Amino acid sequence: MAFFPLHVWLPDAYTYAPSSVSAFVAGTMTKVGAYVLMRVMFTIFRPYFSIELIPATTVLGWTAVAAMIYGCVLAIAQHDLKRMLCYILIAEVGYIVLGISMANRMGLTGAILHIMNDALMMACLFAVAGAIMFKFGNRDITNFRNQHLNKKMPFTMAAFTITALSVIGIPPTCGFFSKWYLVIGAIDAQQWIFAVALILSSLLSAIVFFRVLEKIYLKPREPVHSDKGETHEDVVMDEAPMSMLIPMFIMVGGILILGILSGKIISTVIQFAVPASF
Amino acid sequence: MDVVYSIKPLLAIVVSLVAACLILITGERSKNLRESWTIIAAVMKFSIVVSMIPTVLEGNILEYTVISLAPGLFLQFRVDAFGLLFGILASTLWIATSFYSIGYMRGLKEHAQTRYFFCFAIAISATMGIAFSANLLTLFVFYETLTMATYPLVAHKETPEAIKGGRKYLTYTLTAGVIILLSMAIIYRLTGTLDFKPGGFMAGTASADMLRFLFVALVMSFGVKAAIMPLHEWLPTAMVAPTPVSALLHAVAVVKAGVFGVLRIILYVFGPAFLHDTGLWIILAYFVSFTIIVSCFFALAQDNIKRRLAFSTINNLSIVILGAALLTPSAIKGGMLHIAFHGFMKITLFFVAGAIYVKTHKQNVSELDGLGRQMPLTMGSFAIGAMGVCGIPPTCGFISKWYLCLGSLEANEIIFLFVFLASALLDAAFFFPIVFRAFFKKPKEDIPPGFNEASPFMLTPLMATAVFSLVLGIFPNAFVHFYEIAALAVQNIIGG
Repeated sequence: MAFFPLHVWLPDAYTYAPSSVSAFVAGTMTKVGAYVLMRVMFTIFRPYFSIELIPATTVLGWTAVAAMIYGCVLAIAQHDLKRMLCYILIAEVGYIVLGISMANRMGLTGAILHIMNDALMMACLFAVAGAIMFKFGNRDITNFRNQHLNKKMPFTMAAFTITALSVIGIPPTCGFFSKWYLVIGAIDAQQWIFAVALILSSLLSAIVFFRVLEKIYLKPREPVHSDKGETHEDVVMDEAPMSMLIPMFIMVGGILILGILSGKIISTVIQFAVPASF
Repeated sequence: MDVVYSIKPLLAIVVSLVAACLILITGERSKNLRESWTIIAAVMKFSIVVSMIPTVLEGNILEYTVISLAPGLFLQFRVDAFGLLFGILASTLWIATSFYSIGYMRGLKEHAQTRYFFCFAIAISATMGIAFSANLLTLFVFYETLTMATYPLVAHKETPEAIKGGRKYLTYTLTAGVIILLSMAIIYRLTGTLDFKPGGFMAGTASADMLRFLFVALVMSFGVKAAIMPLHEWLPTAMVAPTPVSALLHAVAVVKAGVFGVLRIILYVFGPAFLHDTGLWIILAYFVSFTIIVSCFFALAQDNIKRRLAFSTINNLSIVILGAALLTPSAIKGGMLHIAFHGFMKITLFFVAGAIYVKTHKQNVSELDGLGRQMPLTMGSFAIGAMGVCGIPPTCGFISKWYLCLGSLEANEIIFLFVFLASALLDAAFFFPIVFRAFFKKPKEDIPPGFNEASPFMLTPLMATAVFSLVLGIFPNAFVHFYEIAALAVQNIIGG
């Protein structure tokens, strides 16, 4: 599941895999690890064993905090869009593990909700990266400024923006709601540092994504040394094919709908998924 | 107090969201169609809001629950008197700003106009959402939406300076946002509810230290948008935005959303009784008094017109908060009225600054000599707005300041009376030189001898808001019952 510090394989594996592969795998494979972790901790071993006897939850909690901060900070430093997303994914895995390690109802609810939300967000982000790759042949963030992305691929960029806001945790997207339950879980567990780490990492991910969004949407008005010498007004739309756009927008729709319906989802599904002893 | 279930609050919010989508679809292909969506939505929103006034004045509350988010937490709208006051203000001034934006953006041939009108419509939806929120969570949802929608507007010019201004804006507001999130989560765990209640619901739910911590955290984080010093730094920087943005968002919607949030926290979450018992009110009052006086001195030193107006805004926002912090009926009433009245006056001043810029490309006070001869109607409106901010009768600024002064006497704190009066004098000191230069100084060579006003698209809104500032000063109850609504809100808080 690429949990810090055992994450080292992930950025290399996902960056160089075909985007359609990484979109699916990034969304789902890390979540298998999270599922197994919950199974092992609370249903194979008794909760008493994992929480009290070997303080697995304490160790996992602090490691998760490190994963969240480490993932976000390294994401800021990346030039390659897909590599940046990989580090965000490492931070997101940190969120899920943090929720599990709180070992209370709210924290586990947040973790399970985040498994679902994060799968959607990551799949969508990798799909966007794939579409950019498909059209431009590279995905270097520093080039975005000259590529007129918002004019050429307005729909892809809209999908990217909404998903980015969800990762940052801006309501009413679904990312906000899993963060909300995780923060409440941290308060219930009286772990103030966990709560602060959660909001700190959402600020860091704001830096990560606004760094990219700024390059996509805002360009300095003075003439930029663009490769072909074209001005912004001349650029015509050159979108990714429909077969890439439609899945992307289904996922974006999911991000918005899961956000608004999160109350319903928790009361009808997730509350029964949380192990009964909590 | 009866609760009336009505879908109107939701409609008032959705109408401009729909307009935003239509604007995006229409795009640059047909500019007139795109702008007519804005105008249609503005008028519809205004009529929906106005249709709620009679119900609220009868002492009822309109309520609409969208969906349940968690046990005890709903995405819910509730229109009470205070929310309605803010809603009326924002929807009225949106109409004026829509017309003005068209004149301004076309006059300057600005780029990315579709994005501009799109973000504008989202921002106004978010503002209505803030006004009609029934609980802290709903308010937070729209508060963050507002931040996101206004960021592209602040950075609109896309110069390195504008991008830097946008970054600064995001840094301040997002940091404040996560602190609100954390405090909100703690409150939810303590009380199991986040619903606003006149008179507050927090008193006695936790240890005094915890409550003090939460109060300070919430007031200061909403205070970022309300530009309480020392958290005001983003506001003057954000003045690089186009003038209609500064006008509506930085004198009305964004900063007023901050003040609205602070007032909700003081009066509807913690409650006057709690503040009074803990003595927090006097600390807050001194704190904002500092902002009131110091921001005036900052304003005196600014040559750029919009920066001068920005510091005057900082000053007036803290005046509203001081009114609420004094906790007496007159002071609260004065503070609430000042939210509305200051909106009308300050938007006039910003409109004038924009009209001058479009017509003459002048941005500094020192270049305005004799401009009153070229643009008498524009500068005349400026004079009315300036008188209003100083609180000179018969403008509406006098009414709100009168109640604020009465309130400080009711609270037996003469010192705050002097704060109000000193700030009014200082206001005069930095506004009247502009009027004096425009009308009495010898014109500079580049000023044409005849009349040469800005386009009617810009002139009409700015004169309309100036006239409203006068009419509301003589009949504070005119048209939309501002006075009665504020009185009702105070009665709910203090009496109920």
